[in-house]
Amino acid sequence: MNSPAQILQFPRKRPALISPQPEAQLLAVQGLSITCGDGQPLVSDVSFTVPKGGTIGIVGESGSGKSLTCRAILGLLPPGLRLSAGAIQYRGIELATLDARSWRSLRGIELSAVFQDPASYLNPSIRVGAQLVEAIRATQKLDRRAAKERAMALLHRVGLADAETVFALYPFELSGGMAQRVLIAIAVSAGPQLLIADEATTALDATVQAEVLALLDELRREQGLTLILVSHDLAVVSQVCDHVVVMQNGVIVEAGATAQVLHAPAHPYTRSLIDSHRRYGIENAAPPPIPAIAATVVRPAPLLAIDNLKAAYGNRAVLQGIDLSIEKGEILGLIGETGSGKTTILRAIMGLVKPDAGLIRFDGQPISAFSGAQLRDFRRSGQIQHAFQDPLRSLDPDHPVGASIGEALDIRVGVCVDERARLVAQAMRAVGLDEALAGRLPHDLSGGQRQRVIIARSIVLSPAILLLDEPVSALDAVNRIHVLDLMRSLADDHGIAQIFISHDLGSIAGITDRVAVLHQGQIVETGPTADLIAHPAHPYTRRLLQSVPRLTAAADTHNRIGAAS
Amino acid sequence: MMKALIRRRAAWPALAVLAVIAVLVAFGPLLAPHDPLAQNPYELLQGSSWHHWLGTDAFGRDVLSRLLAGSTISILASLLSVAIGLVLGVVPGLLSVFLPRGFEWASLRLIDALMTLPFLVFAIAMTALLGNGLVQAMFAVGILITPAFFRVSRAAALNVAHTQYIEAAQLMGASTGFIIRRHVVAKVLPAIAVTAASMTGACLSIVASLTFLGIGVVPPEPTWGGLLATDLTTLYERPFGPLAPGLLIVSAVWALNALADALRDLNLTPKEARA
Repeated sequence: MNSPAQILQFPRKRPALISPQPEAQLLAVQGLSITCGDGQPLVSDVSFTVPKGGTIGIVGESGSGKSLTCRAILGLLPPGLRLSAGAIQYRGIELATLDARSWRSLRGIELSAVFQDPASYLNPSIRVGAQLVEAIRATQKLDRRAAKERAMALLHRVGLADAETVFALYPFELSGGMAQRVLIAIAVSAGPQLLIADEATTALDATVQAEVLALLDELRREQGLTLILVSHDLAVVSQVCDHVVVMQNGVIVEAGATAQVLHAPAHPYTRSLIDSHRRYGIENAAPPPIPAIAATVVRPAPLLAIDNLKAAYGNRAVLQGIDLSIEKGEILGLIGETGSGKTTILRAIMGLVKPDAGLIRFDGQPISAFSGAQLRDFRRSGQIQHAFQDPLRSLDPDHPVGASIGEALDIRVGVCVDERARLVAQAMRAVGLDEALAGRLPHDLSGGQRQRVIIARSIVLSPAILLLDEPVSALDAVNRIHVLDLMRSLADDHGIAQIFISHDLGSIAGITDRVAVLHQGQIVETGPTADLIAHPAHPYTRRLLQSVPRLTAAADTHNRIGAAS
Repeated sequence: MMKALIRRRAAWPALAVLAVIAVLVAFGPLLAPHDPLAQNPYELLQGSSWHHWLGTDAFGRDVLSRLLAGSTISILASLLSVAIGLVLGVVPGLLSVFLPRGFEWASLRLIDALMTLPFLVFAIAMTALLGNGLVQAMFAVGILITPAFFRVSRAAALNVAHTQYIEAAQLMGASTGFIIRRHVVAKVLPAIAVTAASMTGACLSIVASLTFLGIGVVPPEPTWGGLLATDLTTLYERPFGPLAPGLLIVSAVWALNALADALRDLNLTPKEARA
């Protein structure tokens, strides 16, 4: 087996057109502009340089042009878009005007990339190993045996210790983190100079994200890789990168050393990104104190009580004895990795999953035992409502949003027209939506507005409990703050209790009163949010919290990288 | 949908032909210059003339009048079959998606069984059983086209059945009927419209085939298919006789199929692009 150092030395085809003398700047983007077919600018006048061995982060929301910029660097602009101006210099080669033939000797060899949603980049019907070998043989002159040996070494290198097993797996048998590691192995298989990671860790759990980021950083140091990290999350970028470029609406609004951008942001947009973290971020877990239920007063019976809940999908136990309770006006956060059972708890409360054992009581009624007409009547009462993660999919695309908000009223018999209109308007006002939008279709609204529509629909019957599954994960920084503020006010002003699921621990830290940590179908720890974050007792909680990207850690990271390079 | 259809140039010829046929259906018997049933032994098997534009048949009846008078019954008969197929197909088709598994299984097997039946033979058997008459024949045809409607509506409903907005409605305590009315009908309607248009065309030719064979309509009642049949028997005397009813049948079937195509193209256009 080759050591990592040997992997680096492996012979590979080097394109002849690259000048041998080292350049100070590996990549220089000058005045890059990308336009739509109809001339509408998508990216305007973007310039930045990446020094050899450096790390640069590009931060921005979806639609800010960060991914397009990367695609332009890789010569992979989607059809219909074109590079209208600017130059991309890579080691003295002009990439903007390169022809397809020359690209073939560069892409995957000199420049490489990993993207979000790794599984979609693998052929589902071919084993992982064969795809990795194929990638290796496409760029290097190796026979089958040597290529396989190298594939094994690469799988080891990207942290898949059991390379032998992984080699023989199909892509669907990989977890998201494993798939991303495999893609990283493919991306670095030819020993590229430049690696672009476009939202490569976005879909991963916090702990896995931290591991993958660490891997990228290791590879960078070990192989002298230059890294461009693209993310919507400033914290992720600040962890790894020594320079940050902030993009909004296709232009660079701010650029500079990470520490400088973080400590002295010049542009209001950058400030809003940082504010978002300050307000609802793990760095500042100081939620308003729980409305003082004095210890001397007899505590009221909980609104919702889950008692020893067990559930399984087939033979796989998902929930193994969950005990939880929530009181009026309280926001309870549920955290844990994918597959820990968070969503199953919500589905059990909604009556979509029949528990194998245990009881869920709402206001004393055994709702988990309800069925048929009883369940329907309880649902119509609207006491427990939920807001789905993806507003676009949970709204009927053909119905004006006003109709969707009022749907529960139509299901309930005996709501007259005036009353219905009044309740819909009231719900829309409560979530800060202009009533004039009631006639619009979901497609015509922005993501933030759609999320408000979902919340308006869930509060139109004045529920006692709201179940929220990743309500802000699809939103940009500004809308995220607004929606979180809204949830807080619904709890404080309207006394609506909420169970809040998110893989974004920052949101959880900022908004919840109490947190329960789920691990493999069990609650390993629960307590008031600020206490739990400050003094996590369970090792799993500690691991989870450590893996959260923090803005404040950036300066240290910067120094660490500076010292290492 | 109608507006979008009119905006499509490709649909214009079909719409024009259908408009003419609609006029024939509504006013055909009134437009007839002669009594379609009046026999005239002095004017048998005449060719075209100023008096009889399309000539006369073996009983001296005016062919044009018979053609016009036959429009109503030919078209209405195929619409009747489509209506029967629509009701018998769409309702269980939608329910099969939302009702318990037992209903789904039973309805699917029944539809499979229906699809094995041969059209004409079944229609002949039905009229033998129920007595010869247009309504009986059309009822048989309606039952036979039920699977088309069942499968199309079921497929369209399956597409939306597991969407989150339907799950959301279920969580609000909505009944199956409410969900179908509110969320499903609008989604399956375009697909059903396409099927209905193409099935009307198919039924028209089936009506023609059946009446050609003497099933369904009892003489002397005129229909397009019946006229075609009698004109064929007198082909030596009036060589161009079958042309008029034949052209009418062909153009109506073509127009309905073209309409179905245009409707399908409309459905294929993504919603966002249309808006």
